[in-house]
Amino acid sequence: MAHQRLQNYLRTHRRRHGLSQAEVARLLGAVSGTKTSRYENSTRMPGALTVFAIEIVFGQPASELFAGKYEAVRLAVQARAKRMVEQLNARPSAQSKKIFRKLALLRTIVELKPTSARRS
Amino acid sequence: MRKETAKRVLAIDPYSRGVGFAVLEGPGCLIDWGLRSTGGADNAKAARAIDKLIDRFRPDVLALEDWDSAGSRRCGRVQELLGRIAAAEGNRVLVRLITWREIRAVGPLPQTGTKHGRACFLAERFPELQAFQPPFRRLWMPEDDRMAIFDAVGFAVASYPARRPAADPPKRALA
Repeated sequence: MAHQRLQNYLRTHRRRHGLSQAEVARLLGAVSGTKTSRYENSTRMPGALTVFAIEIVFGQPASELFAGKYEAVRLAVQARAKRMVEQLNARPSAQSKKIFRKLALLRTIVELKPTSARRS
Repeated sequence: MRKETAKRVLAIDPYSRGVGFAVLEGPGCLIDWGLRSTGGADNAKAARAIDKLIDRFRPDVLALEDWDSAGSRRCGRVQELLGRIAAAEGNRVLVRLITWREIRAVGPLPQTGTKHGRACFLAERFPELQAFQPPFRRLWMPEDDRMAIFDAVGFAVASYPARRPAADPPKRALA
């Protein structure tokens, strides 16, 4: 039975390593633990540089740490890729090599499995 | 496809001044744990705290103590609270009532026969819980509130189907 993953697992990893919110904030270069709390409660999404820092701190890929968000983005990208495949297939020049390469990439995106399924 | 055991379970164990909780995504994957204090023996506040936990974790299964089973020694207030939660949350999450017999089966019996032994066993299994492990309770001491976390983890672990060892391959008949 598939189940929806949590928005993020920052709190789990932080507590697993015995770190406080203030300590994580210090590692991320923030002033106080408030920011960590906001990231954990999904009231604020960290920027790309902070996501890299979080990956380094916990040693986990961002797709695992922000599993729920990652799944939402994956579904949105897949829907867009599907639409692009349909549009490319409808073109009269659908047989050219360039379009073949594009279609190969887009089909890989469409067939991408959820992270949980890739793990198991 | 995710395995059946990878469901998210929220286990709740009320104590005298609040509720202890544990969230697992699989029998070996502890996601969150802790105590939610209600400031006193207040069922309305405890029910609200549990409601918030369900909203936050959106579990597939809610594991509660089976207050009617043999071995359960819950007071009337907690029995009423557990009954109220099971009835109220039953329509949005699968409620699983765990008996003490099932909880004792989460580990080897000499260890899991007592609450303290079970807490030690669970702290070994989930090292992140070691900081929360209460000291050994003497006869004159009241139960530590943190024991509610270990009871909740026990309920959550017990709510997963037990892994049975693979059956031995059939022996070949000697020629």
